[in-house]
Amino acid sequence: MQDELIIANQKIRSRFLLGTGKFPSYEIMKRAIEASGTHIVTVALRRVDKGSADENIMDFLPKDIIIMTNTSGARTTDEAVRIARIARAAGYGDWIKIEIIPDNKYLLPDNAETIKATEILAKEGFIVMPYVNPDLADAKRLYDAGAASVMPLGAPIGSNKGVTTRELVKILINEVNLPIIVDAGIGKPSHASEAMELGAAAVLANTGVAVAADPVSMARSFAMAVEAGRLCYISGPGRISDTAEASSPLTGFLRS
Amino acid sequence: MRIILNGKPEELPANLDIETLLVSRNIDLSKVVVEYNETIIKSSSWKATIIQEDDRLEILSFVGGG
Repeated sequence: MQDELIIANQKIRSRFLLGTGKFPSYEIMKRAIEASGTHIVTVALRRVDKGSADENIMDFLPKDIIIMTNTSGARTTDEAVRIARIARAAGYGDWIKIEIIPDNKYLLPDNAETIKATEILAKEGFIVMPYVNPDLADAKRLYDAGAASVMPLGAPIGSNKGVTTRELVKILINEVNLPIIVDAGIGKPSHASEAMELGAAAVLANTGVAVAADPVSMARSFAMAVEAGRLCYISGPGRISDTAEASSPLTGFLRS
Repeated sequence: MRIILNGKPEELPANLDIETLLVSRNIDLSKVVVEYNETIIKSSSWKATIIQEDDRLEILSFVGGG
């Protein structure tokens, strides 16, 4: 069966995108990436004030995957745009996850600033993947601004609460002509599968994998759940009913 | 000489080039990206770039992130 994920005219091998934060080590992160089969990973940019013994993350990322810089830490459009330009100038390509967060308690994104940043960066040729609150009007604005996908949150970052925004995400899937990638809050494989069963084009997870007791096997578990959820969606699940519908024939031959 | 380093004011000696600054802070040259007055400076130009008064310098590194 032909079921390809295309983002910005590129064929993406896996519908599971993986963040690289919070892993116990880069070596374990590397093995989790391999186990996940992911084609797109996110990285972040941080200030360095003095030397440290930390290893270079780039030495641990497979060569055949897309590295997408996250603008995390940006609170405004200008800051996000600047991070994107730095990533490109530093040789890390055109894929940008726009994450603009003015709020430290819930880490909820600022849709208005994100739309502005999307417009600026899409014009500069970036492949823009905006992380947003699931809002239909804003998702359409992102489409108009040239976004390559829309990445609505399932629940606050790192909360592991699952697809709490499910009804709104479903509306985006139905109404927006871009890949909808559920990002944030996906704490367990069942959450990932749920998002995919709804019809999401892909799922991005990080904390749920990275903080597991065994991140490598958890990465594989997530990848399997994403695939299972996708297959469910394209197979067309049966309808939900309030009463029972027998799955075996009930013709009575024991009673007349 | 005062500059803005990673968003904070910092006193530095005169005639300091970017590479010497990084080395003096034990920063692994292979790991960082340097933004100098909002332009990325390639590592091959670090030695030749002398930091001036009021310059803005960002020393950045790619790390794990979601």
